[in-house]
Amino acid sequence: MSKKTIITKKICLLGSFSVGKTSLVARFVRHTFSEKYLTTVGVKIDSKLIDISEEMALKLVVWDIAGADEFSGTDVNYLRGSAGIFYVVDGTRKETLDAITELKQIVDDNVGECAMVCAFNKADLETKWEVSSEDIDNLTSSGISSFKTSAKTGENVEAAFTKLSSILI
Amino acid sequence: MTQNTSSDSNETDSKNSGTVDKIRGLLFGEQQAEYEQRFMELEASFLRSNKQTAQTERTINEINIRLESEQRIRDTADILPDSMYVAADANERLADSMSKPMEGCIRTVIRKDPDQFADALFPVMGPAIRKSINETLKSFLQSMNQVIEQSMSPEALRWRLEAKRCGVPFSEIVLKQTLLYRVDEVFLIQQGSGLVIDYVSHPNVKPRDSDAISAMLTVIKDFSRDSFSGEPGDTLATVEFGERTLWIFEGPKALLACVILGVAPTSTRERFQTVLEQAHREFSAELEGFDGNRGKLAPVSNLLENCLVEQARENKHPAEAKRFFSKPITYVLLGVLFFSIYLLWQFFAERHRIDSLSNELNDMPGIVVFDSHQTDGKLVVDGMVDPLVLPLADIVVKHGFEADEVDFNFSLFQSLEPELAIKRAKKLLQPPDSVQFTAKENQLVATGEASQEWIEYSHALKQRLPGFTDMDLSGVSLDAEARLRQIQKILVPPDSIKLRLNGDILAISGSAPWAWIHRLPKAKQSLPNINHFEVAQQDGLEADEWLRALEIIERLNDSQLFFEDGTNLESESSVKISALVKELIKLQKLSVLLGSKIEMHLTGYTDGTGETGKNKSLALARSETVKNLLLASGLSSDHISTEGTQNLSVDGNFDQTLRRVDVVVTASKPKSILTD
Repeated sequence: MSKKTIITKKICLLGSFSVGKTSLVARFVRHTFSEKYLTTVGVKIDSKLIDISEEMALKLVVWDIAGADEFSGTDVNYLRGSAGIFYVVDGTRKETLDAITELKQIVDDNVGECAMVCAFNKADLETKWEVSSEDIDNLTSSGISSFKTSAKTGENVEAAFTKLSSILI
Repeated sequence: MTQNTSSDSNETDSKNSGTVDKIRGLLFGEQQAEYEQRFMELEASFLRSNKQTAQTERTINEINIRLESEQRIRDTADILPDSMYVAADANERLADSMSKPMEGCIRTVIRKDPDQFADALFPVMGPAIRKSINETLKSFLQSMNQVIEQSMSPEALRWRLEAKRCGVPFSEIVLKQTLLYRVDEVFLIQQGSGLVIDYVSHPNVKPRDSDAISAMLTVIKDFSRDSFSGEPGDTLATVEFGERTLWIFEGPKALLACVILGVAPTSTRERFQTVLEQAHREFSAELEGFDGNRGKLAPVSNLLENCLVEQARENKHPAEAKRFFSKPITYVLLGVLFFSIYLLWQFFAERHRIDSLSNELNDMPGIVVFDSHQTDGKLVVDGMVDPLVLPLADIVVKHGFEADEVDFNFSLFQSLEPELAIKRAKKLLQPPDSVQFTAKENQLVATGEASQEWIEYSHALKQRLPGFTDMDLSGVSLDAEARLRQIQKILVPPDSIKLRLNGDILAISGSAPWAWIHRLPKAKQSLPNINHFEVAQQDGLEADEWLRALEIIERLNDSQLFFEDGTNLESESSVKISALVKELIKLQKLSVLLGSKIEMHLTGYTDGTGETGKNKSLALARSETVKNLLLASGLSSDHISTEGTQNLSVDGNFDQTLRRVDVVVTASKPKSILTD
C-alpha cells in the first residue's frame, strides 16, 4: 500500500469579533491547541485532513486569527504564506460584512492571489439577519464562494471547506 | 498667421499678405470670407503637415539613431564578454576601472533590496562568520581552559586523562562529559506560512501534529518579536522550558527548529546551522517553490537526520577503546606495573630466603642465632655454633644463597644437646658399626653388638662423657666373635667341628664324637643367647662313629666269598670271614652306640651248571653257610638275611666266580638328636 501524498496548505480564518469563526470550525478540525491562544497570542492553529483521491490528501493548517475590527501589524504577519482565506461573517450583523471588505483589501495587499470562500454564519438565526442575499451575491461575484453556515447545526461547513480545498488543489 | 521662424521672412510675408489681400478682395468679393477661411485652413493644415513632417523626420532620425545605437549596443554586447576576458587577462586595469561601478552597483542593490542581498549571501556568510568567530572563541577557550586547568578534582583528573588520550582540549572534554543531551525533534519550516517542509524526530518521541506546532511556533516568533525586540533583525532564537531547549535558526526561505532534551554544547549549534545552510544551497529552488507538497523535498530528510544527535554518558566508542591500547603510554604503565610486581616479588623472595635460613639455623641443634641483618649485600648472622655442626656451607646453599653471600659471625661453644652429645660420645668411644647410641634423659644408651674389649672400654669411660651423666651398656651384647668364643669355651668342640653364629642360632657342621654330639641339646641351655641349633640336612653334622661305621660298611660291602663247590668256601674266603666278623663286630658296636640298625644281606650264586632248581637251593645254602659262620663268631642273627638267586649267566657256561656269596651291608642312619 503506497503512502498517500499529503499536501499541506495554510489557510486563515478571518472575520470580525464574535462572528463565530471558532465554533464554526470547532467540530471540523483536529484540536492541537486550546482556545486560550486565541485570546493571548491572537492565533489558534488547528489542522484538518481532507482526502482528495486515492493517492492524495490535503492537510489544511487552519490559522484561526482573533477577530479584531482593526488589523494590527501582527495579524498581517499571520497572513503570510496563506494559500486560502476563509472569511466568516455574522449574518445578524451587517458590519461584519463590511469588515470583510477591509480584510479582503489587506489580504490582497499582503498575500496576493489566493483561494477564498466566505461563510455567512448563524444561518440558524436567518430571520434576524441583517445581511441580504444581494450582499451575498455581490460577494460571490467578486470571486469569493459564499455559503450560509451554521456552527450550531453544522450546516454547510463541510461544503465550505470542501469548496476551499477544491480551489486550493 | 504664418509661423515662419526667420524675421526676414516675416517682413516679406507681411508685405505679401497685404498684396494678396488686395488681390483677394478684387477677385473673390463675397466668397472672400469663405476662401479666406479655407485658405487659412489650408495654411494651417499645411503648416501642420510641415510640422508633422518635421516631427516625423525627427522621429525617423531618432529611430535611426536608436537603431544605430541598438545595433552598436548589440555589437558591443557581442564583443563585450570576450573583450572583458582579454582585458581581465591582460592587466589589472579592468578590475580597477570596474571597481567603482561595482561599488556603486552593490550599494544600489543593498539599498534597494538588502534582504535579497542578504538572502543571496546567506549560504556563504554563515561559514565565513563562523570562521572568524571560531578564531575569537579560541582565545576565549584558552582562558577558559586555564580556569578549568585549575580544577583538580578526581573527576577532572579522569577527564584530563581522557583529553590527553583523545587529543582534544581539556575544556571540550569537560563540556562533553557534563552535557547530556538528545535532539528530539527537528522542524524545517517555511518562512512566513509556518508550513512544515520536513520533520524528523527521535524514535522515542510521540508523534504529533507537526504542522500545527510549526504554525504556532511561527506565531510565537512573530509575537515575541513584536513584544520584545528592538532591532528589525531580531528574532526568537532560543526557548527553554524545563529540560528541553528549542533552538531556532533563521534562513531566508526556511527556518530550522530543533527540540533538544538536556543541554547540548554550542558546537551542536554549528551543526544545525550548517544543515540549514546546506538545505538552502542544495534545495534552493525547491524551497522557493514550496507549495505544501512535502514529497518533492523528501531528500531534505537526510539532511535533517544529521541533526538527530545525542550524547549519552556511557557512549564510549569501541574503536577509541581499541586505540587506547596502542598508545605507548599503555606500555609504559604496564611496564611500570610489571616492574613493581617484580620488585615486590624479589623483596618477598629475599625475605623468604632469609627467613628460611634463619629458621633452619635456629632449629638446628648446636646453633644459636642472635640476629641476622643485611650489610653491604651480605647477610650477616650473629650467634654461636658448636664446632661439630660446621661447616655450614651446605645449609647456606640449600636455602638459595651463594656461599659468600652469608657471613657467619659465630662464637664457638659446646652444645650439650643430645644430638651433639651423642656425636661427641661417638667421637670419644668409637663404637663399632653394630652399636647405636641414643640419648635418654641424661644417659647415653648403647644398643647393638660389640666386642668385649669395647664394652669394657666404654664402661671405663662412661662417666666422662660430656652431656651425659651415665652410659647404659646393657643393650650392647657381645658381638658374634666374642659369643662364638664364649660358646666354644663352653662346648669345647673338637677341631672337626665348625661353629657359626647367626643371631640366636648356632650352626654346627663337621664331625664330632657321638658323645659330644649327644651332649649338645643339654649344652644348649648353658649357651647364652642361643635358642636354636642349625644343622645342615645332608651330612651337616656327623658323628665320628658313624663315619667309621660307614667306612666299615664300605669295606664290607661288595665283599665276595667264593666257594669251591657246593657249600665249601675257598680258603681265602674263609680267612675273609674272620676279618669280616671282626669288622662286623666293630660295626655292631658302633651301631649300638649310634642307634643305627645294621642289616646284612647275603646273596648266594651258582655257576649255573646243573639243574636250576638245585642251583637255587645251592645258592641259598651257600648264603646260609656264610651266615652260620658269622653267627658262630658271635654275631647275632637278627639282621642277617640270606638269599639265593638265579644264575647271572644263562648261557650254561662254567664260571667259577659265580660260585659265591655277595655280602651287602646297610646301616640306617641314626636320628639326628639336634633336630628340634
